[in-house]
Amino acid sequence: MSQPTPLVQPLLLQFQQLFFISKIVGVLPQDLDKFRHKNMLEKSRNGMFYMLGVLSVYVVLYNLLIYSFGEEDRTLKASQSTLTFVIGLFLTYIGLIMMATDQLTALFNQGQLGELYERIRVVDERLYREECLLDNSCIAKRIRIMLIMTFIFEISILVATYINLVDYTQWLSLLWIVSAVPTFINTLDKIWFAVSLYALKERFEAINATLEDLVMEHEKYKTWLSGNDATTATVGNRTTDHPPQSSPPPQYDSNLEYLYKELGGIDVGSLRGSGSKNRNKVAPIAHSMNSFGESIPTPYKPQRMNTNPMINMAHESELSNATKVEEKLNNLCQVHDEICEIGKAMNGLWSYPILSLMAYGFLIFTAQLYFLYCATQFQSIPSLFRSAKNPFITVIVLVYTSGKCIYLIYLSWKTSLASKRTGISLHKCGVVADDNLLYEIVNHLSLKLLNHSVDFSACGFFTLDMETLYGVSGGITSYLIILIQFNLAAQQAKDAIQSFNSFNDTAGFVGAATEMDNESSTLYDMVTTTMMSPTY
Amino acid sequence: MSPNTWVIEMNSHKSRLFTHPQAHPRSQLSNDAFARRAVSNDNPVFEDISTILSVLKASGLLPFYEQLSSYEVGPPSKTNEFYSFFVRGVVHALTIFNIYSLITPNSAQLFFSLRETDNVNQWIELLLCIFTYTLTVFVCARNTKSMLEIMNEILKLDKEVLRQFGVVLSNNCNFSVKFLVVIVCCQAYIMVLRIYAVKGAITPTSYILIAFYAFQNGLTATYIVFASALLRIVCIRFHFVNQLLNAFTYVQQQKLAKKSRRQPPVSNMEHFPEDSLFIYRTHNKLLRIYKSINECCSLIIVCFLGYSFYTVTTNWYNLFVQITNNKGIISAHILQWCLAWLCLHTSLLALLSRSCGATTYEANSTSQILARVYGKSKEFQNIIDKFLTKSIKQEVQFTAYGFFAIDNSTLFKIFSAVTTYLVILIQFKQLEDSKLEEQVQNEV
Amino acid sequence: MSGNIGQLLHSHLRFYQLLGLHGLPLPGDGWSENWAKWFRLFAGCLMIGFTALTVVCLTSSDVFLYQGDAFGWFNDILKYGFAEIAVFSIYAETIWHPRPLARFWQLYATLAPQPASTLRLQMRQHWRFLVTLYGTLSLEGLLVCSLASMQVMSRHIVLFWSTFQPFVLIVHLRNTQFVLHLELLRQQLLQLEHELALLAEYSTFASDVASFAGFEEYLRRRVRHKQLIYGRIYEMANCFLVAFRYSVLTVLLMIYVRIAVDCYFMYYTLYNKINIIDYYLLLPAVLEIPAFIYVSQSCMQLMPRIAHQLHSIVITSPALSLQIQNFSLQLLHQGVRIDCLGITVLDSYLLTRSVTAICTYMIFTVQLMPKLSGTYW
Repeated sequence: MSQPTPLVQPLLLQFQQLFFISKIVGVLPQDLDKFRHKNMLEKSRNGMFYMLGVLSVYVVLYNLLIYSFGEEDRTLKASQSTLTFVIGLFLTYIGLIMMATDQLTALFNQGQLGELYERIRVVDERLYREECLLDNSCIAKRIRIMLIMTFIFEISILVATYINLVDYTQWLSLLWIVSAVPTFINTLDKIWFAVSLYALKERFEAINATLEDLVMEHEKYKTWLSGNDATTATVGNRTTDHPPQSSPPPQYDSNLEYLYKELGGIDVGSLRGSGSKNRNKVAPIAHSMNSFGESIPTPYKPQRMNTNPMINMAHESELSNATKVEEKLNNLCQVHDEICEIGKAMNGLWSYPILSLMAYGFLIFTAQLYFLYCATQFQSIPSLFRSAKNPFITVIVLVYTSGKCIYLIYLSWKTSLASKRTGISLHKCGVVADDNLLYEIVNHLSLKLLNHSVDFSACGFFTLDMETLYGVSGGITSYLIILIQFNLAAQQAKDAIQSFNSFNDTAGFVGAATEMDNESSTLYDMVTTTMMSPTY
Repeated sequence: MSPNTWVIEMNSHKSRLFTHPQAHPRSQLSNDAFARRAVSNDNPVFEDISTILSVLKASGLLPFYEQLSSYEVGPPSKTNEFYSFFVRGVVHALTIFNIYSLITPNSAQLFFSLRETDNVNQWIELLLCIFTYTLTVFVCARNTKSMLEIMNEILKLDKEVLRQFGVVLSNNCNFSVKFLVVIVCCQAYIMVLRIYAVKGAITPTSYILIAFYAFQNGLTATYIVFASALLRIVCIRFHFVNQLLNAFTYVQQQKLAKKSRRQPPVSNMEHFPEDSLFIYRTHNKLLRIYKSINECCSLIIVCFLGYSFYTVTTNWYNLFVQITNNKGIISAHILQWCLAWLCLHTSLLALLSRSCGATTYEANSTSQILARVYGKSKEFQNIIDKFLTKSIKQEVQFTAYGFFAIDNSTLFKIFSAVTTYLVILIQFKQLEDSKLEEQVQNEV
Repeated sequence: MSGNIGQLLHSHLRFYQLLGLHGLPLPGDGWSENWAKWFRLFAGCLMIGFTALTVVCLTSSDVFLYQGDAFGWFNDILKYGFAEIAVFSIYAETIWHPRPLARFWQLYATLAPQPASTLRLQMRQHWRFLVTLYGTLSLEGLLVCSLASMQVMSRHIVLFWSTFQPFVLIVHLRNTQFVLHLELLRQQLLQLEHELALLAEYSTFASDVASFAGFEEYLRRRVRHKQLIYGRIYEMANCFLVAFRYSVLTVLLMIYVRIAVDCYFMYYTLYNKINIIDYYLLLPAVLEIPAFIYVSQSCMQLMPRIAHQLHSIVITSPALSLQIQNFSLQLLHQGVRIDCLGITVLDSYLLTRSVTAICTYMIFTVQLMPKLSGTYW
């Protein structure tokens, strides 16, 4: 079973840059040398100490930041309502809590993370044996794009805030840089999760694409059997459009010509999600170099596999041989299950960080908007949220924070959709082949697939799918309305007091002169009723 | 099947089961204990939760059942039945007395707080508590028989497992004793705080009120712990079934295949048909038990959830008001009081939702594990298909009297609701305060 | 020659095409690369026009936005903003995502190759869509006319409604376009259900009274055929979701935000006795969401009925049983579920939830309204 030479390129090869950065910043404790040479994540004691040191430095710096910038907040407490103050205090520390959660979870999981990628590698090997090829190269591209986006967002927020809103004449203001650290570290950690999740999604889609390929092949085989000359001309050219239904009557074709032209040049499969876009897959062979720098003897094997079914075996379909295909379908189903399990394990590893991220996202989003409102009303806001004073910086912050949360939610939703598509593709195989034996197999496996589940959740508190987004946005709206309404009312009351005080000074003379306390209270009543009732 | 075949079976089963010792640390332990237990046939059933059982029995919530054998319990004897009946009567009489004294000015001494709203809050809390406890007593009295049935079902299942696999399932319910201690401590502490807080000499009526209030609270909480313990027991049995099934999955089969290269090959799958039969039967029985526990407890649980939602909200609110009041005087008394309540109710809520969630998860994962079994022959596939088809639309859930499902997300929902209410309440409080300030300034 | 989709659909699709909502050529059009380019350019021009309109309205110093107080001003900004997002997403889909829509129509043409023969029959076939389209359009027109006659015109009202109404029109037309597509989907599902019911009846009859050699095999092949058809209908539903992926969300959001904000504002104006009665222009918007949700729900409600009909086929042979089992598993795997980007299923529960949400927000405002007015603004 296990062969000495690696069949597939490990997924971690694509993570080189990301690992390097995360290692320096202190997101992951694993061993750098081992990663470089063997592409493996291994436990490392030194890394652990380094990370703990980094964490404590961050905590100290962050507290220093809060202390040095908190001068203004001390006066704030007197003027501002207590709720705003307490929420502000809580909000200043939520970033730190989030960062600490990420780093500590990474410390605890340092052994299991490596196992996870090892499991993915095993899955890749199995997929490779089933002639189901994956292209990992786009993952490296994805990582790069995400890193660049992170840098752009962080730096633009930092620089814009520093220039606009921080008094940079004092050297202590340089501490402001620390305020970007928690979000940056959190983003790096989430990039690991997002990219690994994306890799899982790709694996699901590869399985789906393999099944769809079986269907296509069988259709071609059928049309070839029926001796339809018109369609055999297009066999061998995969990019030619071919409707998935078996041999449509020709009169539709003439009538639908206008649509075919619109559809021409694309694969029908690409309509069903991006799954089959990467038809021309690149084999996950490590560029014919394995980890020891030796060349693998058969580097061109995958290419041959890719081309063979197109040219030579175009008129043979695996689906026509039920016993042979049973093995393959069984294996694919098992791999599907294994990927589901990996997904669950991954979710387990990141469950606390995701929970803290979601809490952070919700709080920061609400708070930023609320403070933006406060700032437009010229009320004072906590000093760490000074970015809310400028609407444009606020927009960037909101996009960055919500982008992180929504992307994770979107990706996990997509992944579970992709895993559910497998059942549909499997049924297509069954219906197309129309063979009793195959029906039995398909029914059996389809029942199994119904019981494979990848539902991503944050500690079981809520699932990560788009429906959660609905709930969260509803929550944010309600809280904002409640907070703003009450803020308005409180402001109103404060104004009333102030105007009353100025009024009282003059009324005081009157009250003293007549020496009637009752009158001042009736005056008060009059003032309040005029203040509170509509003036229109 | 003659018992002899089972004796032979037992060894092979054991060897299969214990290839994964980490999965069964408990069962192994208790398996050792089994040797001792077989000698003394008269062991009390549900030994793990005996403390909590005796408390509930003494307070008339559970019947004093007779133990017929080590795997069966019988209905209570006439005297014991009468005792339970008597205790319940006393409880109801006390409740009526309490309500009477609450309405009359006898209890005015207890409601001394600074603000009017606090007193109203305490009133409502008290009434809710009385209502919850009275309901608990009524429901328990009505469900005596079904509770005994549930116990018997569980015991019967244990017996069968012992016969077939030679495994004594442990209950692993040590948490119940800890929670009992926590409840008693919290209630005693609260009682002391209350007594100290009252100014002047305390009338006997007040003493009775305070003591009975603590008693009611404690027993309701104990009942919740008991329900969680029952759920845990069911959960462990579900887990056992799942572990049994897990040995047949393709992952384990592959591992076995790797091992058997060195050893003579042992095919595991040949036991599958008979084992699966047992597993399906057990799973069905467990589901039935789970459902009947749900039916027995759900009304009480709904009531308790409502009560503790109210308590948690008001206590958080009080705590917050105490911390943020501008006068700078933080009353240590109210602080301790709130913290004790919060600690008690939060831990109970967490326990309840966790045990419900765990049991539901285990019950639902059986079909998922079965989906991982790949049989070679048609016969095996048909066996698997049957179960999977049955479980397609079978949503196993622990519902709160059909209102909503209780699992981990319930905890989340409760706390988000508490937060929302808190935000609104605190905002109103601030409005009120600013009005008060106006008045104060006006008077000056 | 009106191709194979029928005169009625043809003319309505042409109508949508002229507004840039339907980015495909119609049967009978000469299709060339040039045409596509020009069409895209046309849609792009419309998009840029609308965007420019928004920018002008939001930045101009003229009274496009309500100037009476900050509250009304903010409300108007919200309305413009969401309307712009909706219109932008609509045209973006027309320009860059025509393929799923093309696939939808291709599948529709293979499923229903022959349109109803006469115009009257076609009208009967599509009456739901026609009612929705012309009902809302005429109501809209009526209300605008009555506003023009009854309201004392101020410069703000003229400017605001003359700029905002085009957005509303496009968004509402898009909504009727959703209704059209879902209605076609519903017809196909209904047809399938009907055919399955016939099969079930036939099988009962055959098992009771008469059967012929090879009947089981015939029945099995029919069921398989239905399975293939169902696969296509499912793909059609999927294509609908992909084709209108973002605009379903943004259109619903825009209408929802408009309703929420205007309800809020209506109360506010009534309370403060501001003499503007334009809030009843909200009525068509209130009707749009139920119209859409009603159709999507009736699509989804057909699913259990299909399963029911499938299982009422009398099983006479193991092969048939296997086939039916396969079909029902397929139904389990690919249930038609119409949602907007997975965020929420479009059924009547959504309606309940949005009404509840709006009511909650209203209560908050009404509670605190006395404090809102006055000199503070």
